[in-house]
Amino acid sequence: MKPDDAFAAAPLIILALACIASLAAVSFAKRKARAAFAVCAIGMALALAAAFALSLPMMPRRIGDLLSMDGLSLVGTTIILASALAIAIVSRPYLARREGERGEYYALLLFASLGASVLAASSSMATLFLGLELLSVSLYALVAYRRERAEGGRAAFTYLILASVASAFLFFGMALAYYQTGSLELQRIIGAAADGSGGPLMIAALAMMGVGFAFKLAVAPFHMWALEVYEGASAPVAALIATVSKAAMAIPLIRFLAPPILATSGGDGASSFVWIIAILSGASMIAGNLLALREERVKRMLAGSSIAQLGYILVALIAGGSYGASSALFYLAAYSLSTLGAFACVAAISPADGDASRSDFRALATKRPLAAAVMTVSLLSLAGMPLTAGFMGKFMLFSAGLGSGGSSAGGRAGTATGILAILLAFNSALSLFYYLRLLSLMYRGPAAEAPEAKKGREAAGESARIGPSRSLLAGSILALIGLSILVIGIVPGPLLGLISSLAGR
Amino acid sequence: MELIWLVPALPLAGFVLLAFGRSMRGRTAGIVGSLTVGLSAVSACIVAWLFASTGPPGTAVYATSLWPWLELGSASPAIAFSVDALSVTMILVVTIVGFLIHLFSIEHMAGEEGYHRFFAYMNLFVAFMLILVLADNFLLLYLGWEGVGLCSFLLIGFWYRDRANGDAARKAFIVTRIGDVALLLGILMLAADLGSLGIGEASRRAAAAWAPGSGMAVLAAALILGGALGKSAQLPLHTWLPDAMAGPSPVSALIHAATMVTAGVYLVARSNVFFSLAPQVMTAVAILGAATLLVAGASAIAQRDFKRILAYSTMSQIGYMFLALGVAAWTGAVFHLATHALFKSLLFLAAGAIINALGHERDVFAMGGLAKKMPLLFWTFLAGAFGLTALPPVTAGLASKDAIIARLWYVGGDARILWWAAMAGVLLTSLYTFRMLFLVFAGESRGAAENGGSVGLHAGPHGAGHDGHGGSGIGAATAIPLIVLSLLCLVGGLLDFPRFLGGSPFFGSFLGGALPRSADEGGSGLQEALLSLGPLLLTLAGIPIAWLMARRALEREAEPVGKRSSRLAAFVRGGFGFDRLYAFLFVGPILRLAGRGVDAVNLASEGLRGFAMRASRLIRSSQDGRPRRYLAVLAVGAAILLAAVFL
Amino acid sequence: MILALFVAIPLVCAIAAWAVGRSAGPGHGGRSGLASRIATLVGSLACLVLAASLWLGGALPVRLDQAWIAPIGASFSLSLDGLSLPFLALSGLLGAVAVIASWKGIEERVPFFHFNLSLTLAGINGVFLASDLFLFAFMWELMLVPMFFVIDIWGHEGRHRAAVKFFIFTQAGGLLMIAAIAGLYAAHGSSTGEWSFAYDKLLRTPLSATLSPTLQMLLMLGFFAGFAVKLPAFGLHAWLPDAHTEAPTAGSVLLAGLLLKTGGYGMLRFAIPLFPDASRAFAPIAMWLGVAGILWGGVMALGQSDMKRLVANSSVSHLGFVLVGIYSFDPAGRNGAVIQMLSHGLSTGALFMLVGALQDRIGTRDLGRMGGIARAAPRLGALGLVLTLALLGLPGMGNFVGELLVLFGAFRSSAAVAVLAGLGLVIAMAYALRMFQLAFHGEAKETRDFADLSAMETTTLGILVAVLLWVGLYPRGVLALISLALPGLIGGMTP
Repeated sequence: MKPDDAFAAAPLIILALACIASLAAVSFAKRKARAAFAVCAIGMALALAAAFALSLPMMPRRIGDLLSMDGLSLVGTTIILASALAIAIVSRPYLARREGERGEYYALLLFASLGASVLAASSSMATLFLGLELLSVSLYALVAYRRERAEGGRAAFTYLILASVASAFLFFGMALAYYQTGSLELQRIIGAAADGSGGPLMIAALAMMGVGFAFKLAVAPFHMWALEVYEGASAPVAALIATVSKAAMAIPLIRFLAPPILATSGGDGASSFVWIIAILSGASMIAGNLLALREERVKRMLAGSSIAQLGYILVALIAGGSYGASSALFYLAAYSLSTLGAFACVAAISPADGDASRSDFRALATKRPLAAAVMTVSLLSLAGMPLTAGFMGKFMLFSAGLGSGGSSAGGRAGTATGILAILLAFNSALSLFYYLRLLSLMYRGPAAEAPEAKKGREAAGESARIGPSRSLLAGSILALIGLSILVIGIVPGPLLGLISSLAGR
Repeated sequence: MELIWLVPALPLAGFVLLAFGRSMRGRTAGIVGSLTVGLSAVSACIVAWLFASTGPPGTAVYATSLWPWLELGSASPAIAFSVDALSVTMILVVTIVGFLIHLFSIEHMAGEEGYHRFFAYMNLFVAFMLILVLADNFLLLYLGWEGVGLCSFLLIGFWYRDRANGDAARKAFIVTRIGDVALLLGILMLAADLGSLGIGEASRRAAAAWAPGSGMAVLAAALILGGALGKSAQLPLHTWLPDAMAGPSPVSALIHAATMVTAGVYLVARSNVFFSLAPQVMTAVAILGAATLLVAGASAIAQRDFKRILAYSTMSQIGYMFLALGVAAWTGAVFHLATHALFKSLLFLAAGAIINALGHERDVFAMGGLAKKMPLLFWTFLAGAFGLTALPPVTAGLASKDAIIARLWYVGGDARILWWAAMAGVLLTSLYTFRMLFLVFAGESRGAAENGGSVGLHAGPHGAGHDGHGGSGIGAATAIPLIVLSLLCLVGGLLDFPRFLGGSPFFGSFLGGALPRSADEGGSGLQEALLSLGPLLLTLAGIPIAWLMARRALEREAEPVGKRSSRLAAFVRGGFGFDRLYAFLFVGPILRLAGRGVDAVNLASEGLRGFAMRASRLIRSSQDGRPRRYLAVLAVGAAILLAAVFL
Repeated sequence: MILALFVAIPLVCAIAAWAVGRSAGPGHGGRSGLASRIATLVGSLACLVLAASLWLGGALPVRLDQAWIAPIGASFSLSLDGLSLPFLALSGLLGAVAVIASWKGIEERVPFFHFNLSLTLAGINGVFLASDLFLFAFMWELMLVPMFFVIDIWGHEGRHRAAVKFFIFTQAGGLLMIAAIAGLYAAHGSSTGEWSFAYDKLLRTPLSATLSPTLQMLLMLGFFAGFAVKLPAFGLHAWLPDAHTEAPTAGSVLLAGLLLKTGGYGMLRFAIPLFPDASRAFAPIAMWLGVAGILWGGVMALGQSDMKRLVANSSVSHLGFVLVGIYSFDPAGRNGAVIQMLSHGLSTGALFMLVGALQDRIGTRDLGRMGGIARAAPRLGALGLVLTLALLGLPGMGNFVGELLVLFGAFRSSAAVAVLAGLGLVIAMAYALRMFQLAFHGEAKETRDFADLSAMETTTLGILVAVLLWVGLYPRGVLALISLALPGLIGGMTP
């Protein structure tokens, strides 16, 4: 392994070291939680810095045939690490006021983000699977992390069962692919799939791997776990699932689907794949929105919305080509940011005895202006309103779906994506219904409280509901998220340019 | 002559003054209103004099354009006025009669709530009518046309606290609007096909472009006629006029004599070229005129409301004018318009005075014997009645109506039936007029007349406050207009008197400049004499019958309510059931469709919403927290996927 | 640079209003409220003055091009021509009207209210100015959010449902339009190799070479959908009565006066010029949609008992005329459509202000419970009468000119349309008079004493009426301006 490789893989290496350090901190440090948090935060920050400082100049670079550090992986790593860092910071006050934080949480966060980053950089099925498992296992633990709450455990259990089945599909698919091609390299497999040399088994392999991906991305009909798990997990963990793990899975998928070969050498395997993914995407748009439509519990609502959002992203993935890829990446970034903002608000305003419910959002604008503002921006961004990143993202999806970049850039935009674009229009109109419901709730007047309930609370001396957390760091992160959503929304140029240039590499 | 715009501007200024000068106390408003109209009458006279004195009488046309308005294709109507013999005649009629009516109202309306509102509207009414008759293009004419309709709405519903009046007003505005839309479409058609809306210019182009009887010509004339029918309350758009009685009497006088209903006649005469190009439409005009003449006359006989009788009589008199128009007797029609303005305004004012004196009693059966009680009103009313029935010595009706009837005779051929209709009309006129006279003035006083000025059948909430000048307490401001109008009626006909009586067709020749002379009838003096003798005799024959009818009616009145009136009488009194027919055909369905304003389209969208909600409930039911269910879904999904790949 | 002010000034005012609200803490009326009111008022008046000066200065068109999103070739480019200017003036005027109309009505969270108001105005101005399709879409969507809050927070009984309905309807249409924009962008880019959203460039897209007629029609329909929902065209108008009725007075004024107009403006500016052939093919359907709107809206208005809802339904009818005029493909019709939009903005804006004033005073919009107001409040009565006359298109009012020109244009392209649209005038007469008489005439239902219009309200309404009369009696003032722009947007119009 040459030094250049080391530079290229610096982020991963740093993360790995941070993992070990955090374990050490948890075992030996005096104030475990604090130390672990510090290690976690610093490690992530360093890794992020390294990604740009060290590995960007080396790009694109393949390390063995395991990892390929290229623009795609860089974007993925950035999204992953930034989200993870934000989540770590948000988690601190959140946990502090609950059963008392423990260091392992941050260690798990580190492991998860390491796995995610590996996943994003994987160029071979070995690393792919490695990263996936690293990510999933730590997620199981994180979902179940809060022992005192039953639903956490149950959610983790559900997640464990289903996820392991899904990874079984994935693994079996990989095995078949390896059997057909005798190689673990993704490029080879994609090639084989494209020119149809793999034969039916190859197709079956791809389909099975597809099931695995679809499950992790919570794409209908493999979305059943999502609402359960989001509800069970604590807000920051839910955020982790919604952002980090989805981004981590989306990147390899883009690797699969972006290359033009799948279209140009139109093996009917390819075209039928396009249609199948199109159907999956449409299905998850509809299913997600309908699930969220009348959902009273906020986290479940956000889960539904993220199912739909992934359905949107698939439109760009089907369109493929460099333009499709960069649109997908941009939307992924916007989506992660917005979702992060939403969950961060939920975490911020959650009372100690559980996560925020709709009632906690009532009159938020007057109670917690900042949180309300960030939540507003995030929801509007998810709804694709202008002045927020989401608008640009939606626009990119539309133009990708309707064949911008043209066939010259190897786009697959056609009837399928055209129909999807229209479906996308109507679905995001439908999604407004639940975004607006929450939105207007925040700007209502406070609910008139029944006097006896009030008396009861006074008697309990507010012990039942400790006021929600306020922490400077978390607050500033919240503000930062909201601000960046707005900035990206108003001047999307730079980010867009960066992403498209990186996606090109 | 360039100051012609003053004629409409003055009443308009009066309106503005009154509209913003809410502070005016007492009768100031009335005086201001009358003054402005009076001034405009003076300026109208000056204009007329200038016009007559310059050049050969009537031939010239003066136009002054104030500012350009808009473009319709190549047609660019402006805010511009033009004067020719016809419009001079009209502005004289409008301003002079209008002024007298204003004068009358100063006292008549005294003590009414919204006294100055009344005069503001009246001024506006006159102003719009003047704009209408002076307009040099069809679009400006249309502006005046709609304005007149608006003022009729405002004034018919003047006593707006009573919803019934409001309904009558609305009906008037809407029914005439139907005609107006036809007119508007006609105007659009002229603009599109002739490329000009200037009345003269358009006529010239039409004459050049359209062959007589060609489709375009017929369509254009028909559309214009639609407008005329609405405003002049001719069949089938006549239903608004009887209800228009809801307004104060001066308003009725203004509507019936000077402003509103005459507009239709003016319009047809004004666009005579288009009608001459469309013989079929001319026939329609004549037939509709005749029909209205008879229907209205018959209805008038059955009425018991004083003003309704007069209203129906107006309709039938306008019917005469349309008859004349229908046989191209343009000058005759306009002449009858002028004379009719005189005697009909007189009748309405006198009637109004009587009604006020009786405390808003309008049922003729509750009157009677007023000849002794109110001599002035009686004699003036009598003068008007003679004018209406064309009896000497009052010349107004005599000259104009006989001329029309004679003209009808000379047309001959199938048109002879029109002559018979006209003759029947003469009999009807005599019947309802004298029935009314006998019921109101003859015999011994009944009902309200008994205790002059107490509450009667139609006494609205406004009965109060008028007993002040109840009985025969009639002031100068009321008396003068009546007397002046009576005198005008006496001599008015002399302007164009039958030649065999040594008259001179001054009026006809004057109008000749603006309107095509009707082919001069070659009848000998004797024939003419006979022709005008016929109506006279018929009228006289009607008098005794009317007397009998009045007697009969009074006896009926004495009988118990049960069999007071036959169904036929009710039908006739109801104006031959047009209202019910229209309610059934048009009004009902539209209102049913409007329902409570429940929008079917909206319901559809709500249905969509409901569907989404139901779908959401369905799919959420799958989230029941049972891992095995989820697992099953996952497996099935995977299976389907795998299957799909291989298909 | 001056053009940026049209967007900048309201934005600044919005932030200012919001800031004073923040500084005053949870600002309930009081000084911070007053400050925000004045800020917004001044802002819109400034826009009005700006527009007026440009109108008189008359060196049109003015352009502003500013690089924005280089990677996709979207630029912040505004352009002001004879078509945009009247609408900008209108938005300035109605913005001020909206502030004045809510002077009494709005007492809660005044700063936030005016923040939203100004933001809406900024978006609207942007829509009327944008000459880059991405920017246009951006501004188009930008209007919605603050308007949603205006309806949802300060509206009447059923506000939330109405607000959501309004948002979802317009958003569905808007997204279809955005999809169409993306499609056009792709077509232009792939055919010319130049990826840009610039209006002038997209105008020159070799459509026939790139897209099949079907695809052209589809893209055109995408645009049409966005605009037809806003206008609204018959069938897509379900959101309008609810939104207008439930919105606070200022909201109704902006909705009816400006937001609806963006639909017609969009058709004239984008849908037709960008897809001339498809639009031509589609024109008959559009005209019949317009006629259906005219009649349906009128009949619905006839059935309303809620005064505000009646006015709202009348808007459906009046904007049917706009649709007819635009798709008559006749110069007079186009002029008429614009005039109709402007005068409808003025008259309906004024009417909504009047209804709002009434509701503030007697606490009901139910015509059944009104009556006799002309006696109790002469100024209210007089203005009510004048606005009713505008509503029924009396000659001399701007509305008449609009309807006349539209009918003329329709007549020249299809007489049947003109005749049926003419029937709309009769229905208009019926519902307008019904409204007027039920509200202002008759005996007062409940004996209540309330103040007549204040001097400020009277002058405001008076100004609006004066402008209406000006448009009605001397429409050349506007027509001359429009005719600078419209011929350029002919879209294969019959010469």
